Amino acid sequence: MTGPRARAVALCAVLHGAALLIPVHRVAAQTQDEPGAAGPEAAGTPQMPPPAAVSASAWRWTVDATAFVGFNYQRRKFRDFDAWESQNWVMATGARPAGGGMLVLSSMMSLEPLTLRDIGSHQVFQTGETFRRAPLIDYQHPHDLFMGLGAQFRRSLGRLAIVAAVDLVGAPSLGPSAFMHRPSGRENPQAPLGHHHLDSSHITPGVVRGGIETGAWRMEGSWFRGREPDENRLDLDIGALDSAAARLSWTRGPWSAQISGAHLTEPEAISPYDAKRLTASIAYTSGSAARGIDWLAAVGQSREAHGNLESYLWEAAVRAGAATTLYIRAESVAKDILDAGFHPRGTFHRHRQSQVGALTIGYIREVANTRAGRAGVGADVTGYAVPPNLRDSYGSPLSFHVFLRYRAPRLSSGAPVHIH
Amino acid sequence: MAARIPRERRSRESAVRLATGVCLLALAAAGCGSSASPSGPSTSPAPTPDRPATITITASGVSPREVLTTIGSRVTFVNNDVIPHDIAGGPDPSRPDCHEIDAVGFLTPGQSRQTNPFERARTCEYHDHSAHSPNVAGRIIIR
Repeated sequence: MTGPRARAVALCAVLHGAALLIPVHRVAAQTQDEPGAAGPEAAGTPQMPPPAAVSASAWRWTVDATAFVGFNYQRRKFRDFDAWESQNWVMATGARPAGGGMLVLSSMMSLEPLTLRDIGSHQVFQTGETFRRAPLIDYQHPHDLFMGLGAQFRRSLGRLAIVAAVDLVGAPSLGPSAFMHRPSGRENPQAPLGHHHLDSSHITPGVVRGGIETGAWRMEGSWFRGREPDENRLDLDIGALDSAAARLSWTRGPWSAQISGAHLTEPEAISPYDAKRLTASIAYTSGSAARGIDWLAAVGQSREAHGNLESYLWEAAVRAGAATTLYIRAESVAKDILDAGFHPRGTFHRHRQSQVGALTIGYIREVANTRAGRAGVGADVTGYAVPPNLRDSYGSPLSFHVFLRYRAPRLSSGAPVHIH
Repeated sequence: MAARIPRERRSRESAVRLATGVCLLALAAAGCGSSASPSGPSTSPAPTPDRPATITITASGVSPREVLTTIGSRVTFVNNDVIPHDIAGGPDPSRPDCHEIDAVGFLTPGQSRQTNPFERARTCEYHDHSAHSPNVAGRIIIR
């Protein structure tokens, strides 16, 4: 079974799987996906409850899931594109005290390899990764089946705490939380255009992390495989840990911030060159489910052999009530669309850059809120500021999404364990 | 505990109902599939002897792979694929040649553009600077 029918059946499997989990877990009271539950920006690492909150005798399991099903329409100068598609993911985390600290096992999966087309989701000006060995342009790639699979240990030592983690698939110490995890961005089914300058390393095959925390500060480093996921979305891309990253993050109340940098060994399959990536971000998370605003401002720079590409992002989720959310994303991203592609080593030239602007305004209305989860109906529109060197090819495109969003309740067999 | 079991059953039934509703929507959507539709002047006329040569790019490559033209003429490239292509002169990125072809450059789906007039009799190869696929490559013979 292939094609759209297989994608729909795959989505059903996700939803029914999540739904059938409910009776075997105690549904945590008042954890209906409260925006603050994800906590302040934690920059891609599991946040664990204090040891006292978890029984010494048992694993505490938490399951979370989100699925968007909708229509994607991209109005363009020469040819329009449209598709029915689904972005989705499910996460499961188990935690228990061990060795005087807390051990957390985490996993995250997505059926996007089946619920999106092989080439990905239409998105004007989006770039990053490849399809049939050609660079993806105007498409957001599907995420891998295995988005996360790893273990983390955290132990307090007086005023300090140490963190160590090993991930078969995970996130190195680089960038802000990935867009689908951060409260400011997770109502938007579309990836930021600056995804590959900011948070694209959230699915990295092979990560070893270590860090130290004191008060509001955390310093961590990681070694990982720098190559981005390959075109086979169903496998694990095991390889040497050839890249390194470091991040300093700070959290106080609703505020959080991070600066990070990485050396990436040949991150793109079509470019035989290393790259460096620098990011900085600050976020505010209101923590209120009914009314408030969560926002993130971030800047990223990819220092590549063919030039430096910079990305600026501001996004927010504004809740005017328990059932209404307005989301906004504004970006200015440097793209080398005009010179993307394979460059044999030694074929060097500066890429022409195009500074693309994008503004997305979206709205979600909750239409069902039961113990089985929440369902919302949403829509958004994106307008673009097209640089002069792309106007001939793109004109003035517009993007539209209309979708149904299902979000499972935050299911827990005990104290909730938050994943970012 | 006795009262808890019916609650859990209700919860399971409610969950399955919600999931089933979403599935029905997804299955209905799957029947509609995905498409790309022309919205502008994207097609070019079929080549005829008294018109400039036209090379069409689709997902399976370029057609025709080899065209014949004359000095002073132009060749039109039409991108009927669903991804952009970047047409440049020369057999590959490391051997640029025939800069008249570079005028075609980046073509989004549906877009077409001409080469500059060819100045002398020779055989020019071209490649896709984005995809470097052997299917999106060919030659133009100028006489």
